[in-house]
Amino acid sequence: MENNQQAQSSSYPPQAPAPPPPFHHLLQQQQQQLQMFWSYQRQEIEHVNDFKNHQLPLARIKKIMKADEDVRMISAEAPILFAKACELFILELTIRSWLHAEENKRRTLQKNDIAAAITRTDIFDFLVDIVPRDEIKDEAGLGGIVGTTASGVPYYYPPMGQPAGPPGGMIIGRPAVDPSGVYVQPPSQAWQSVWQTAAEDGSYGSGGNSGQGNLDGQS
Amino acid sequence: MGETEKVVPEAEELPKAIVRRVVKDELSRCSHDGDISIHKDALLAFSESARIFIHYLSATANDICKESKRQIISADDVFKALEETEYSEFVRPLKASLEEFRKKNAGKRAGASKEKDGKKKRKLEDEASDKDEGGDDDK
Repeated sequence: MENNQQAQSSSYPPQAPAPPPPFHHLLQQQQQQLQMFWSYQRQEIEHVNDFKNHQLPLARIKKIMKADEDVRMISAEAPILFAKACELFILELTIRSWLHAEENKRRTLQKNDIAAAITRTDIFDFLVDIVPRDEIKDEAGLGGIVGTTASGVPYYYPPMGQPAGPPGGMIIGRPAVDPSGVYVQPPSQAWQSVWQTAAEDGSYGSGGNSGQGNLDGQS
Repeated sequence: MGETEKVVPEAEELPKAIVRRVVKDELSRCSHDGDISIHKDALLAFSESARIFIHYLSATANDICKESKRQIISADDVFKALEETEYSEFVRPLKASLEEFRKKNAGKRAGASKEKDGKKKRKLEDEASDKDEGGDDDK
């Protein structure tokens, strides 16, 4: 190796008596690279992170199921399914609650975000009773209806008497319209990330499709 | 001993830490620019909602099971319940999880079939046992 400084300019010359400014600059560069490296690694890990780490305790799940006296015997496989279903459910609820927080420009998820998610989503209808009425308020005067779009089909809120956008109540993939002009990308990415992670993990098949179930918009 | 008094415990809840982790991980996927925090009440709402979801789904699966005149809620009952409650999107990932679980168990069983044989019958019909693993199912 010659004293040739052309090679590997990013590594600082260990012995060269470099004057402070360039050295500092190189260090900064390195730090930046390191940061990028770790951020990428983290993304990779999260990307590959399948749901294994989140395993809800099966015994607890069983107890919850059996709190219903009607439920008697459960196969050994059932709690596994319930644990996973529960986790997926929480993911759904999280995303939708987060959307509401985003709409209101908050970086803290609050109870009323969850209330909003429940109110807006048909498949969460079974939760409607646990939401206190005073939680269902919209901040910033958004009202119950997002502005009508060109096609009149809202993304989030089913206005009175009109069905929600995609059938099935679960919106997977790209929303058809974008009421505010802001949320087209983030929601679809957020949705796709849930199912795509699964897809790329190899164990779940292709990502989710919309169009499941029947239309149940009149709630 | 006196009369049998039925003590109604507070509803079992899902462990907060795990619920919190599930939520936080998803939030960090949703929002790439900084952390979203979770208000304490929001976390409770998540746990509560998930708990009720379990009830909702098990009641549905239970009905389906009873309709077929069976006693034990099977994996298939759960899948049917998901369809019925319009959570069919969950079916595919759940089937994959089930496959994994079955494979893992098959491996375990192969290695320890003799000692499991005696215990299997007891584990299969679950009553009040509080094992974390849920046992293995011979299907």
